[in-house]
Amino acid sequence: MPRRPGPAAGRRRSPRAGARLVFEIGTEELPPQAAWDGARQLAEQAPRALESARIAVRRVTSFSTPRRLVLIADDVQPRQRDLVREVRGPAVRVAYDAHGRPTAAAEGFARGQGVPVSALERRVTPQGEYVYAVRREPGAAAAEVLRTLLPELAAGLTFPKAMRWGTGTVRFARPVRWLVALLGSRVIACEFAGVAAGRRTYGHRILHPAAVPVPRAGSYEAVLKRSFVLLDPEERRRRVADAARKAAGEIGGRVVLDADLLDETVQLVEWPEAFVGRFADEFLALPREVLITVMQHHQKYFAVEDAGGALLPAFVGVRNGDRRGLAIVREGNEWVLRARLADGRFFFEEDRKRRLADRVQGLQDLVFLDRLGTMADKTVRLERLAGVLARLLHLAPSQSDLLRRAAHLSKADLITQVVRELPELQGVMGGIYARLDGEPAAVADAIREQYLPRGAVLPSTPTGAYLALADKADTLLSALAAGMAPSGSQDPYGLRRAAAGIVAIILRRGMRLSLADLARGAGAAAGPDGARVLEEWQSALRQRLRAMLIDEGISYDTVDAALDAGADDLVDAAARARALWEFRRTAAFAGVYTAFDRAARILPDGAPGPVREDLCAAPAERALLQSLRDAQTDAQAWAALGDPTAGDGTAPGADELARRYRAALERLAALAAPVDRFFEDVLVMDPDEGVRQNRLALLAGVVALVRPIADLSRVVVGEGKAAAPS
Amino acid sequence: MTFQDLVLGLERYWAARGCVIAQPYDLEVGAGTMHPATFLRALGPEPWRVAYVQPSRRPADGRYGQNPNRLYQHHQYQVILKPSPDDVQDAYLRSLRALGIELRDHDLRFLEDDWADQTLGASGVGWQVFLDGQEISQFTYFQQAGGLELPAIPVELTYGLERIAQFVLRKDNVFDLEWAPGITYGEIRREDEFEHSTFAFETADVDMLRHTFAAAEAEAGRLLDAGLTVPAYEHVLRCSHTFNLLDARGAVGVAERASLMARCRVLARRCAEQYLKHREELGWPLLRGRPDAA
Repeated sequence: MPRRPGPAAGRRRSPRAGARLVFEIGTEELPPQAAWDGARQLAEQAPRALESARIAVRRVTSFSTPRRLVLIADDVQPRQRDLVREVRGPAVRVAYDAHGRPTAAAEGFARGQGVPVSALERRVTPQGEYVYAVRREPGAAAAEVLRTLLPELAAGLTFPKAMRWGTGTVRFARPVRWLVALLGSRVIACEFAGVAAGRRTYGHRILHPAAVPVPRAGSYEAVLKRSFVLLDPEERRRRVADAARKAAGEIGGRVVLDADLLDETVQLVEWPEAFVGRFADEFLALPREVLITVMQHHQKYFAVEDAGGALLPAFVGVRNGDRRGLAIVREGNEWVLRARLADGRFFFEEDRKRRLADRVQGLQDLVFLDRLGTMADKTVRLERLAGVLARLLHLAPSQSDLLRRAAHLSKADLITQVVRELPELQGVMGGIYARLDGEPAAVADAIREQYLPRGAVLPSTPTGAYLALADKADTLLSALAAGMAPSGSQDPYGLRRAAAGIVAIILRRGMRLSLADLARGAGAAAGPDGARVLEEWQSALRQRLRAMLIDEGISYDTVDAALDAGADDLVDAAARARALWEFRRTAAFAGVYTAFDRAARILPDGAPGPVREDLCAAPAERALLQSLRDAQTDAQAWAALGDPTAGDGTAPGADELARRYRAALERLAALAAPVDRFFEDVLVMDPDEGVRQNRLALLAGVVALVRPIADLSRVVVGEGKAAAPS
Repeated sequence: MTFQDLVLGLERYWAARGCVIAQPYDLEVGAGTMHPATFLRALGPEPWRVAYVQPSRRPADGRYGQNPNRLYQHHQYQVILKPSPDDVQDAYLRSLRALGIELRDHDLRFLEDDWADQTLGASGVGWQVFLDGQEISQFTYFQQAGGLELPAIPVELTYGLERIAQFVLRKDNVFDLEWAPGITYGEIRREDEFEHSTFAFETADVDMLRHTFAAAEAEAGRLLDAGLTVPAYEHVLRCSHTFNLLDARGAVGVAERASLMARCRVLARRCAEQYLKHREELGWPLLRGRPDAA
């Protein structure tokens, strides 16, 4: 074939360089999350699929746009690696007779393996010398293998919400409309979702509606660019950000490039252009949160600020296209935003005609969750929980009043018009209205923060933290009481998220309280199901705490040892886990562990009586008794550490606790030598009943000292080095 | 362009693409989806293409004719193509061009939007279509109707006629739209809006509505037992609209709300099952001569 002269004509390819593979799944507009997820899955799954198909490639990358998921592999070797299969047959001494002729056993084996008997090979193995049948299956052409591999790859993509279309049975995020599969300049003939692969792709929906042929894989990206499609999302991200900054600059403003909106926008446009639009100054009287929500969430606009961070009456819109008609696009978007903001202002002004406090009554018409009553019911429960928390946390009366007030008003914004229109502003609007109503700042802040944590953002005010905790505790307890516990991967009511929120808030603020007391105070432990609810509540929170501590890098068995010693006070349990984890990586740990382990192993079930000093005759017994007494002086203090209700609410915080537990563990190291000596010098199972019981009592004393901090029998020796799988 | 030009343009466009041009359903419905030409014909394997205007009543959205954007009754232009054709997005875009919208001068987006209707047990996957920031259509691939999985997926295109007209003609107030040359939307509809809103929010007789719901529900069940699917379905529609009126009137408590919707859903599902069974007994008439369509 004559070579066409071109820029590449003079270049010599190295003999090992393979062809480029391009596989494009052309779709109708994907949800942005599906576009990101699909590309990520391709990048994860393609290398594995190619490897197990014995196709060598240099590099695999993936891309996505709103209308395509794309896999690109470089230097795809033209053929699969050969497959060599070796099967061991009979031992050599059985396979050949004295003259070296193959026996019937060798003949039968070779026949069974489909190789001539003369082809059997001898191998020396640790078990002796054997014959082997070696079969080499030459690799097939990569192009041939890809015909099945590529459709399987496409079929293996999963999406949280998949759909069918036409009369097909394939499920995908959105309908698949074309496929490009090219290895070098050759089409890989294959089919997925009823669509045959070829070399025709599609450019921008409006700017280049006609199909475009891709002559070879290497020119794919350039072909798309000529058809007004930027393949690489990161390039689109740069283009969006640059154009948005420039547009905002036209009016002397700074664009607020919200990260989530930017991620979403990148997957809404194939050829981005930005413009700045304006709205009337008078709308700036609306709360910033309302303006931002309308612009970002509903219209996908970026907000614009002045140098001091105040909102300007302007927005940056991103358009999927070029600059043609940009003035029309701007004008249309301004028109839409004006109507939306006029609605918003109307709702806001209507809402302001009634105080938040006057709306609480109306919550009886709003359902909380299936079977969990109305928001009015929930409000009553939250007020009760506020009282319980105030008692358990020894809050001052003034603070307790603020919390109760915040609980009372917390859900009232759900029946305001702004929240009905913009549900994502729940809590935020409540905070704004409360402040405008003249409620105390702490109440307004708490209402605003009640739905936190969101991501890594936790409530920043004490009252906000208490209210957020009460809100989630009520959700979890009420749902468990109604038998709505999450199962498997199903958690439709967000109960796991609620549990994680509770643990995060309690740990962050070092709240010392008993989970069981909280549940009892809420009334959840009463009734025929009370015991079950309490158990599920504690177990749900314990699981979250466990996961969080393992995430911190603490080994799972260390966490289990600490939590088995009690997890009702989360701050205390976390402090013990952290102290034990630190202690475990010191030399002293082995001594304490051995002492505990030996003592615990020999102890029968049931508590032996008290130690009788008069029966401690051997020096090793007396030495151990003395060590125990020394340690017990500390023990009273340790026991108080774990009891948040002791004292007046000044129970030590998380760091102080961990420090003290660490010190306690170090003091326990003093027990190691006496316990060792005890086991060496005396026989625990003395024939004399009295002596035996006394020796067991001494060992029970050792276990009793350690167990309040951690059940060391949960420690797996050898697991102490790094965090292990949960 | 007038409001009726919009309707006429869409009628011509979809008629030319092989749609049956049906008429609005002559019962109160909340959306074009409830028209039997959509809800029932969406079921089963038979191909179907239809387009029609559907006046859609949403009693709770009534604003006495005072709000520039909200109406007790608005108009949807509804298109059903079943099974969904491969080029449906292009066909939709061409319909906008047919209305005189030059897409190169605008920004068009397909924004993810899934849809579900509790009372009909129907759900779908698709988009809101945005033109320069204005939502102008819903574009939905049905996945279920009457709680049943669909063997041939219908695509539903719903044009919000008032919104499109307001946007294209830049009318801030819906009542200022020109419906036909020389007469406005307001002159034709505003008084009705006022009366309907007054009825729905203030005057409707709650006891009468409750009786109507119960009677229509009972009648739907009786008609289903008698094998009369479409009349039964019409009584389900009466239940649904009566429920909407009760809701707007503020007469539906929280617990009752879910239960009334569930009662509609149960009946809708029976209608769907019975309709399918009947079509099957008839040998799926619209499949005849179209072996490719199954």
